[in-house]
Amino acid sequence: MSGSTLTPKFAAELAANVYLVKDSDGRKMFNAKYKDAFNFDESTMVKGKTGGIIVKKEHVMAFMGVGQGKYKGQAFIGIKGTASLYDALTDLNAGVRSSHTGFPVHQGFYSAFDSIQFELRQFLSGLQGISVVHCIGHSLGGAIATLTADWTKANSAIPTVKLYTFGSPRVGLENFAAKCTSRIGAQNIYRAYHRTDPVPMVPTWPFFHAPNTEIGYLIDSPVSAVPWKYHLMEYYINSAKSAGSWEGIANNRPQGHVESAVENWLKSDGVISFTANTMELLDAAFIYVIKKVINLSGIVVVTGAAATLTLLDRMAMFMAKAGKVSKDVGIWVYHLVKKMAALIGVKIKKGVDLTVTFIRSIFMRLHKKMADMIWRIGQEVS
Amino acid sequence: MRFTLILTLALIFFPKVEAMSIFDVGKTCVFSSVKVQLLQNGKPVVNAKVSREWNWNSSKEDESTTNADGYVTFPAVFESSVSRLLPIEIVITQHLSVNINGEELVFWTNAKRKPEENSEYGGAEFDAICELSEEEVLVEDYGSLMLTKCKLNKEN
Repeated sequence: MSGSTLTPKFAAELAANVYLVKDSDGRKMFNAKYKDAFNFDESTMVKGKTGGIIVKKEHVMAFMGVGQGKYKGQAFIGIKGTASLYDALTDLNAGVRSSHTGFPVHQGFYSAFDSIQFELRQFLSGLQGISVVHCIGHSLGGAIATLTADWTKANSAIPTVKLYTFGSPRVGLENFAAKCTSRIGAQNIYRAYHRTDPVPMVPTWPFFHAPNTEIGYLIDSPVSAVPWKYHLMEYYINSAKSAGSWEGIANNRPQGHVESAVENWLKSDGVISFTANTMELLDAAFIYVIKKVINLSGIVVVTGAAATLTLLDRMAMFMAKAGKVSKDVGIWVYHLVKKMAALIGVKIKKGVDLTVTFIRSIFMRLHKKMADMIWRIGQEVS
Repeated sequence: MRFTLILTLALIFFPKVEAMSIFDVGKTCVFSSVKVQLLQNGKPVVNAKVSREWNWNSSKEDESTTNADGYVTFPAVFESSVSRLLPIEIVITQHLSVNINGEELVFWTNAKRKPEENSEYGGAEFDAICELSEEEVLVEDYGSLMLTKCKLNKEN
């Protein structure tokens, strides 16, 4: 770990304090906190005249600052998402589109990043003598920080880009995660997340986290009465302080369900219901089947063409096509669709024609069942 | 219903949660009750207009006036927002200022990051003495950032 790596505490506090740049009172405190670290001037930072920029857009806010003193030669980009972005995050039917670096990412995050790209380009073009750019974000801000880091590394001469995220959702599909990891370098990505933080679990299949390596910063946290308690920055700051260093929380990334367990589960005919374990297995099984299909058939998820297709459309097309390639491939698609169908109370027989329409209807009905379930809970307690 | 998936996943992944608490959003305290004594060079600031501003989802303010001993008080203010149903950070920026000879002097600025009353001072009541001639200092003792000329009245 190089000497220019931010400590977990510094990165976590910065991710939390980015939320303050929303108004002049917040910026005044932000400036007081970081006056020795960043070249900021409250009177000019909004306009971006002297190396500090505050960007305020509909779905995202960001600060971009040049380090000074102890942080000379470094630049900082802190990002926060706004509540309006949650629509995108929770929309299972959202589109996937090619990122600004050419790999499939979530449509909502793409648009949020797109809205700050002009200012980012402007900021980077004005940097001189900078050897490292730190990109930092919490939650949705972490997702946009990931796209920012990926784009910055691909489009600037900055030698090192470091990415620090806390409770970030998944940003793109597997090939984005792989390219982003190799481009930035797994050793430069600090993705911290609490075990009981639900946000890093979404969007679900087939999104992946970067880095896609075994390096991870999983922090234990208890189950809470409020499901997203451990998503809040207060708890990430506490965890960062306790950890002391990145090494203190490194290499805890779970290995997931072993392939044999996933295979056995897919092939089994037992009754299944909505439980944490079922959802974990379904997630693992989805990824397992996609990998199996890609390895055996070479089919990839269509991401570039036909912007009107949603992610579900594409996944349904992918699965339907894969199911018809060969028996070896088709059997795994069948098992997966059968499991998803079972969750909505539908039994499918071996040999059923897995058309795009049929698979898509299973996806949609499963999503609807989940939505209905939460709606009922909402009605009962309100 | 736009955020149903994340709620659903949260409930599915953490089935032991108490459903009531998820929707027990109540109201958010956007500014706790305030009692401060304003001093300038050690003397009470008398009959001065004090403004209190806060910004959660929109900027709002109210006013009060110091008494003969420089004291001013404000009641707690609560607001509701559906955003409390989402796993997002609460950030309420707040400040207190006093108008002296036509000049607005800000003597206390804070970012409230928790919905509970009195979270500005980590659970303690906002009962403070503020000396306007002093420099603002940055306080990070209460889980957020505060710029203040005030010191908590330890007697409360």
